Amino acid sequence: MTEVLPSAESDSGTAPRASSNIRHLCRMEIAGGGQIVIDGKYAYIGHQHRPQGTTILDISDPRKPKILSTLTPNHPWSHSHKARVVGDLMVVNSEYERGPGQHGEYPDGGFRIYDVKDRSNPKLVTFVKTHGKGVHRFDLDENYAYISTEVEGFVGNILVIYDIRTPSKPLEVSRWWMDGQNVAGGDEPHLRRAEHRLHHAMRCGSEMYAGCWMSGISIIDVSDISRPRTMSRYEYDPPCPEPTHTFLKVQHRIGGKQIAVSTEEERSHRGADAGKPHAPLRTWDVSDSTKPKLLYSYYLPESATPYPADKVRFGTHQLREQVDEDNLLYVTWFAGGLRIVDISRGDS
Amino acid sequence: MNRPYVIPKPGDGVAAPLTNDVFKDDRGLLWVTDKERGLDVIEYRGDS
Repeated sequence: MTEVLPSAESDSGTAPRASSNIRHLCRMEIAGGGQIVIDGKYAYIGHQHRPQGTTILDISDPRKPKILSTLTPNHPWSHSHKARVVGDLMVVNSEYERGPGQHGEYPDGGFRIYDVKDRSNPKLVTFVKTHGKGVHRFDLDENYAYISTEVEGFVGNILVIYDIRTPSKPLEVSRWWMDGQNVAGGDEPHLRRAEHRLHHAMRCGSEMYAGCWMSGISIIDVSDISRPRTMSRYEYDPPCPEPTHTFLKVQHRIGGKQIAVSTEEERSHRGADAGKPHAPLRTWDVSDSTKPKLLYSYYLPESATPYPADKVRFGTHQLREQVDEDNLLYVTWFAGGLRIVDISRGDS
Repeated sequence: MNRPYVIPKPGDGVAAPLTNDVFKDDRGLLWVTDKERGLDVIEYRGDS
């Protein structure tokens, strides 16, 4: 089923605009952010482009966020656009960013762990080198880092789980991948090559929910952390134009069902897919995690943005990685801004 | 129903906003990043 969300007002220009129930408190002119996480009174931003890396802010006063410290990537070819925090540990990625530099000679792919007890002076604990382009997104808890990275012998990113309980010595615990990625292990390479890859996986209880780029979604059982096991795979047929970015399980039941949500990532250059539907938000019934069922796909009409939607990047990207009992989901839509959707009202 | 949204302004010199990531803090405030430039702090007051 498909729902079309309502439009924005039709005026144009570059002023911020919002529905009447939104108040804009502050705009901070800061380098673009690939990821933001907040823990208490601190915010951590992974910047999209080198030479900026990570900025740590004191957000006690939401009208005057204060920069406490900044980090820059450790190599001129790297960007470090993701950051997560657990307690006094911050983990950031290191990934080859397109531009000058040779992908094949890139030495800095991996992730870094910092001690941020003093937020004004993060201290490097360790660098874990992975392979190739390095690390993209990841999930994190007190025990493990769930890393999406290139790995020698595989085509495209796979999931590598590290035990970080001794932060100075992370230990690889296990790997998960899709059929067609383990070329060194004898897999026939997938027709989509590296487009057939993990984007990243989010843990919920003993399961991980994985956005798998041009290859749909996966649910992975990690009840035995040393042996991740595929519970289900779902591929769109026909394939959808935009790649799957995030797949997230909602912790509580809604209407008696176990629900998950997903976003695709509207690409900047759509090529032959120009004119096809823009990246939507989707909801899923995952009451049976071996058989995820697509419920609703939420599209925004091009009139929902005052910008020329067919010429700029207009579609979903990421969502707030938590859904509270109010069932509100916060979804970033590139030129469509931030949209707040009640996912319990899919057919309203 | 007044479906809530906010479209922040784009960074200087960028054709359109690239609203990229969002995090809700303990006070319920939304911290919204743009892929190219800018951080916006938003309060959602609910349906009224």
